[in-house]
Amino acid sequence: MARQHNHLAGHGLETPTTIGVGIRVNGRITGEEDLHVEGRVEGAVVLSRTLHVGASGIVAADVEAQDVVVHGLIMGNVTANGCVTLHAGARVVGDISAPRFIVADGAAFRGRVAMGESSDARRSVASTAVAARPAARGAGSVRTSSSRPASSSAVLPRAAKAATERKAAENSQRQSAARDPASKQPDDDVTVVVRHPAVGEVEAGGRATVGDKSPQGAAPKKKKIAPVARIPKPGKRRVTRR
Amino acid sequence: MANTVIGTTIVIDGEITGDEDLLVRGTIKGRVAMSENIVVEDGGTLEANVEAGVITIHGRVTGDIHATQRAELKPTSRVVGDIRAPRILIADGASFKGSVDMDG
Repeated sequence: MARQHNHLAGHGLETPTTIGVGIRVNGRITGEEDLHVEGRVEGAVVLSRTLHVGASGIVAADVEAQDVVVHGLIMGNVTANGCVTLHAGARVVGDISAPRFIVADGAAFRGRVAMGESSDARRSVASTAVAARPAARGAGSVRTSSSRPASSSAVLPRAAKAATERKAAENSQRQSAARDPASKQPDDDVTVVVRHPAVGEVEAGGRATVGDKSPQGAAPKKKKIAPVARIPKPGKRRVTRR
Repeated sequence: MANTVIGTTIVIDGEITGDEDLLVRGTIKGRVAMSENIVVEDGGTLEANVEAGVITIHGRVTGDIHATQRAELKPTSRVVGDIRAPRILIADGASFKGSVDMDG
């Protein structure tokens, strides 16, 4: 039985942090270097560099990193400041929030994609390169490039003409992209209109947070003016009984 | 050579289980249960209860150590916690506070 000694360390070569195949981590990982996951990680991952999920890697966690490169499985939301890349064989279930998103042919993805404003032209080039390949293949497993044109066409006008030629391929594919255009909005311009029965008028453009309907609903109940009453017109009224 | 390396800036707060070798250069809080070897390097910190085959410590460990084969405390190690192992090696320079149980 050999002593454990990492002989690479003496040469100044840093082996990146690796979670090996037989390892299971249940908890929160934070760090400021690259992380390679070949085993199983559950919980949360927060990195300031790149997360690599290997082909045998399973990450059942919400991920925040600079870049994310996926060859394996991620079940959880992914937030990246740089680029999220799904290679062939990748399986991602969860929402992705990143300014750049690359999906290779053969990757499977289910979830929402939210991309911020990006001014570099590389994304449109990458999207046309990705789209060329699935057009040649028949329908079958999930074509994740369908989520890509939906997102890029919403944000980049230049990719619009590339998107039109992908639309034919899109129609025969899965519905995961169908949700995307409806829910896609540029991140910094999100306007959520909250309609609550206690609130008579509708507030628009103010709050950008979703999901705080109940506190909002409770407070206006006390402070706000009573909702505008429907004054029935004078005259005959038909009373409907239910 | 270890397959699993926890780098110097990595902090893991939770539980690690597996049947591989583990090389710790960062920080682990929680619990570690491996069936093979664990090496805590000089900059590594383990605030966890550890169970493994052979445990070799060059860094800091705060927590109980349970080795099924051997526990080694190297000269730069600082250990606070109980050690349970059938064989123990504490090198000159190691700092250790806790109890030792070699019944395992």
